[in-house]
Amino acid sequence: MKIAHAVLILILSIVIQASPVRLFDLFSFAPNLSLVALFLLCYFLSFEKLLILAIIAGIAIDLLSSVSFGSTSLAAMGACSLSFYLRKNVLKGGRIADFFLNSLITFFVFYFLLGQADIFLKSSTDYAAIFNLININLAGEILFNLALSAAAYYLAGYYKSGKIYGFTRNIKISP
Amino acid sequence: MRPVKRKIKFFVAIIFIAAIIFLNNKNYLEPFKNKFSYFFYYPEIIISKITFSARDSLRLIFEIRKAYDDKIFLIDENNKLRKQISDLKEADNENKILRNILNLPLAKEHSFIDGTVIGKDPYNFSDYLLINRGSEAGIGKEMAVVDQSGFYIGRIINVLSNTAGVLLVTDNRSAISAIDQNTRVRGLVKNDRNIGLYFDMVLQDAEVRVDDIIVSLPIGASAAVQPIAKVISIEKYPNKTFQKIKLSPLADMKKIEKVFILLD
Repeated sequence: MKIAHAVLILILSIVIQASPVRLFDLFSFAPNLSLVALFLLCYFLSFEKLLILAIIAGIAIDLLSSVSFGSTSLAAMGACSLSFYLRKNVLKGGRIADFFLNSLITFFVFYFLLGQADIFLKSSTDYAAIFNLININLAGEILFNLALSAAAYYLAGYYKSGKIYGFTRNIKISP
Repeated sequence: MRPVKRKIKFFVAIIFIAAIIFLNNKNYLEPFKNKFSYFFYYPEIIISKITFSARDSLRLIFEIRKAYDDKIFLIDENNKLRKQISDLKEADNENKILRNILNLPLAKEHSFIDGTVIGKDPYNFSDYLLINRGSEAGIGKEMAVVDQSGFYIGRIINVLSNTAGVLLVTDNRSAISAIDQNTRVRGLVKNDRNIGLYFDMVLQDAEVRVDDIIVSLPIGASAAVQPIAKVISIEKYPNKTFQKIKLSPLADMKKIEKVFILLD
């Protein structure tokens, strides 16, 4: 995938995610579309493109959010690199279970790094990201993210293989 | 690609981000951020208009029955308010007469700027709104923000040339110095891990009653006193220093479309 296409998809997801009313806000929590898009795009990009994308995503999200500037870039880069490493070295079976585990670790690490980076860059401890990690809202969001990622992954696998069934069958969509 | 090369690229990227953070802290990135904010400004306005109108249309279907119940409740509420207005007019007249006798100036009217919500924080755990007014409109940090009813909803924490960010009172990081309108007990209005609003730092022997209105104290850039929330429950613990006073915000935070930024 070309980096320009990936950036375009990512910017679109960020604009939708930052819109005032989210269509997916069925419960008290909602998925983070930009994070899901970033995670999925990692599957289609090489390592250096992935780093560029993480930096662009971080800058764009930080402009629209209340976290300190640079936190998201650091967190996204760390989480995406970890995801890439896990995919290439540990969870390389290409099964849906590997994908789930990879996404779960990536989303959790992203929020952990975000909270730590924000505390460090603000030089204060007033940020409640650590509390949010055990908070029902963030737990719900991560579950929503997993479901969205799985749906997108399955569709991508179908697009590649041409078969709709075979959830446990190996689906490799790496670049 | 070799893992060593990947490590080098990773550290180059870290250094790049560190440089960005350094430049941002020195305010060298402000022109870039202002230009970049225009990039998001128009798409956000278009999407916000579409989503607000779609939400209103959908809500209409579900809220017909609720509207009937609300109507009966509001008629009763309206009668009570008429009585209150009448009493307040009397008190206002009395206040003016007393101020004349004491030679005091009349209470200052507040000047404000109106703004429209064009976005939310991309992170779901944060209660933060983006509005379509920025430093060009005269907005500065720490200004108080109210809704169309005059209820306090938050304060400005980020300002760019054409947009500004409002940290809502329901955000985890928000803490507002406030006072009970009836009993004059002081405390902090803050959110407790996204569970709800609390009136914190109120000692066990202080008197706060259910249904009391909590108003903001004039602190920071705003000298205005605005109602924030209503007390809905009080729990006292003999072995703890502070009471646990739960609040319900007066403004409906999920339906905010228009905001007013107090300039004084």
